[in-house]
Amino acid sequence: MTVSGHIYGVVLNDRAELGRLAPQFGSKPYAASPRAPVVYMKPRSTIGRGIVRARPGEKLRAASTLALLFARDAVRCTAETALDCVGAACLALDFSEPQASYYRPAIAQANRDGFLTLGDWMPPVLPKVIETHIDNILGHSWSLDQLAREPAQLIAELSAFMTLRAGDALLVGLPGDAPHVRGGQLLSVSAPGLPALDIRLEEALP
Amino acid sequence: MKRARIYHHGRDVWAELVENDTALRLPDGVLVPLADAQWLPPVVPGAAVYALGLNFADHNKELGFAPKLETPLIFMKGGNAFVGHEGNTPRPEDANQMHPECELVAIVGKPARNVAPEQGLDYVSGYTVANDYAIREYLENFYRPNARVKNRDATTPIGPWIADAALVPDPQALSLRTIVNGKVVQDGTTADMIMNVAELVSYLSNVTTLMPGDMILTGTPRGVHFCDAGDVVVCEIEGVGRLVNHLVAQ
Repeated sequence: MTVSGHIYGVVLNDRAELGRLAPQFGSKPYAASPRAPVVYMKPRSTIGRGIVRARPGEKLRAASTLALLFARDAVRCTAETALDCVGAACLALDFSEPQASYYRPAIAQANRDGFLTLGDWMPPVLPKVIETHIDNILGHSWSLDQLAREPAQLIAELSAFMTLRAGDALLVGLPGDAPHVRGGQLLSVSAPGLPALDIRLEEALP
Repeated sequence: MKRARIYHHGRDVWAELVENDTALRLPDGVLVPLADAQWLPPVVPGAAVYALGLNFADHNKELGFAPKLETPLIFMKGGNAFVGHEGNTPRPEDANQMHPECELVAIVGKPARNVAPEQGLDYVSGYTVANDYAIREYLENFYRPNARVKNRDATTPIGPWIADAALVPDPQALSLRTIVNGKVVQDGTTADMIMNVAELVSYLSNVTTLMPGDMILTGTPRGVHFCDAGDVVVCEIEGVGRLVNHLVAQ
């Protein structure tokens, strides 16, 4: 089995980013801090094969993360049992057009064909640090310790209202300081215990 | 043709409506009376399902939003959210502001990429009915309408079947109604959509590739009516179908 269902992800799960945005949460359009996990979905048409196309001159946000594949349905799990439902893990690089606001779903910015690259699936591991090299230079690094809701807690809170079904994948959170990249660059995402992910950004014809 | 997905003798099968919509014919020719059918959502597993918010000017006004947004408000739904015709939808105890939303659903028939609005309907193979319940207490202003409102298990009834596009010559001239315990609470027309079906196919196909079986829930007209456990909620769209749902206490 591989991803046969849906790909879910969450934003605003990076403690550093939450801290930085906290002063905005009291004002419009948010009016309050987020309570439930902030979920998005990527259709399977976003899964690319190592080549991502950027428009001429366009900067894309390249957010490294961990993808978890469910082997059993996660329904009303506790954090203690949540990871029992996970059957595999891989590195992922989630692309989007940079957005200033989290008010409305970012379908137009994040659902472009090829805007998600997944690595090879391995038995579940939770690596501590995920690095992204851009043209062979370390361009970004982050620790899953930064997650406001660590994966087990995240699955528990999501599964309270939505079943994560066998065949679904979950991207556990995106770094708030993800690098911006452009056509022509080579990206490599790596983490201890997981196969690296290599992506070439091509500049699409205008 | 109308096609339904039902549970029959241990497996899910797609069946065709026959004999004036009184029976379902299975692929092996066996007939199942409609009354005996165990309806499943007529959704291909893994399909990308898009849904519109605020796509009817009268509904936007009722909720205090501008008549037309600058960009369409679109979100996605997972298969966990669907429940078939005559199914149960849980109503949480604290969901005092849970309301049905009758919506026309367009089903994509072939890969659609950078389609012009004039050609949008060429990519639609059929239509069904959805009831995209909302629970206003759970709304938050992050990726609104957020998943806790719109991607809850079994909270989007859909069906009973898919009506071929040939049966729906003009998708912008259909009446939509929601009836709760026999009382009409929504009574609108697809003529009032801000972005019509063809424009939505075009818009989304310029964002991503729409694939066969993918769906677009096209938004709901005015009529916010809060429901209770025990309510029988019917959404019907002229020429497409009549979808029955039972709200149960969670």
